[in-house]
Amino acid sequence: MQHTLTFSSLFEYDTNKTGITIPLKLTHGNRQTTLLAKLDTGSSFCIFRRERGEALGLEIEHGYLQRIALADGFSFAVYRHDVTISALGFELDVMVYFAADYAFSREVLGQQGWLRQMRIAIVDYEGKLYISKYSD
Amino acid sequence: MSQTLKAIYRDGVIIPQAPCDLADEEEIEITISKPLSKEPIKNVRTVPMIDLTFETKWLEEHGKEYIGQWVALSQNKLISHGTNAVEVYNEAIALGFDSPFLHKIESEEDLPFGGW
Repeated sequence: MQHTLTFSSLFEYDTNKTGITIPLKLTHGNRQTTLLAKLDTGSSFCIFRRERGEALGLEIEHGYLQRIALADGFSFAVYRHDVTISALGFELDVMVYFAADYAFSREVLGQQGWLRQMRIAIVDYEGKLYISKYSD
Repeated sequence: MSQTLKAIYRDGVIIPQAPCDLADEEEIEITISKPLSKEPIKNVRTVPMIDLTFETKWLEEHGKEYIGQWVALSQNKLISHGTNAVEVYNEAIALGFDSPFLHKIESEEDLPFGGW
């Protein structure tokens, strides 16, 4: 049985770089910044560095505290905040998480808040990411 | 041996939603976790794609000069840099850049990414 999906946009990423790197913009109030994040289908949440949240004017510890499990059995703390994400031609108001620890250095787009609102298909060999919003 | 099963909470009583392999009066320990609720479909607006080609190229060409620092860029122009992200961001804003590209340059930036 074959399945056919159609998408409204195509994003071509650099396969010479590690992971799938996505350019995006985070906005909170009147403060905004662009950045590069990794698409991470294995991450339950969208997670960003603590300092990025601080630059956006967020009081990190005022958010809801959540612990995130890692593959090695350890976990780390993050705080949930409301922001607007613009990425790959789509913008939405979502809850994302900022690391509690300054040493946390990864920034990822994960399931809740982003992936779940989209439909995507990846042809990694060609560096192609097809995307539509879920409701299309 | 542990079992995982769904249960509902009603009037102070936890009611299993499936049979459980327990003897009458057997003492157990309960860990409570809520299932992830299905996220409602958001209002997703269509906007122009963000192009960070120039910023990416700048990082490739100059990033190693600023390891350990935050940099704020606008296209291929370095606006500000330093070890404090908020100060670097605020300096860029003060210079009139309302949406600067803000990036921490790590010494191990090119390591493969493990994901989660």
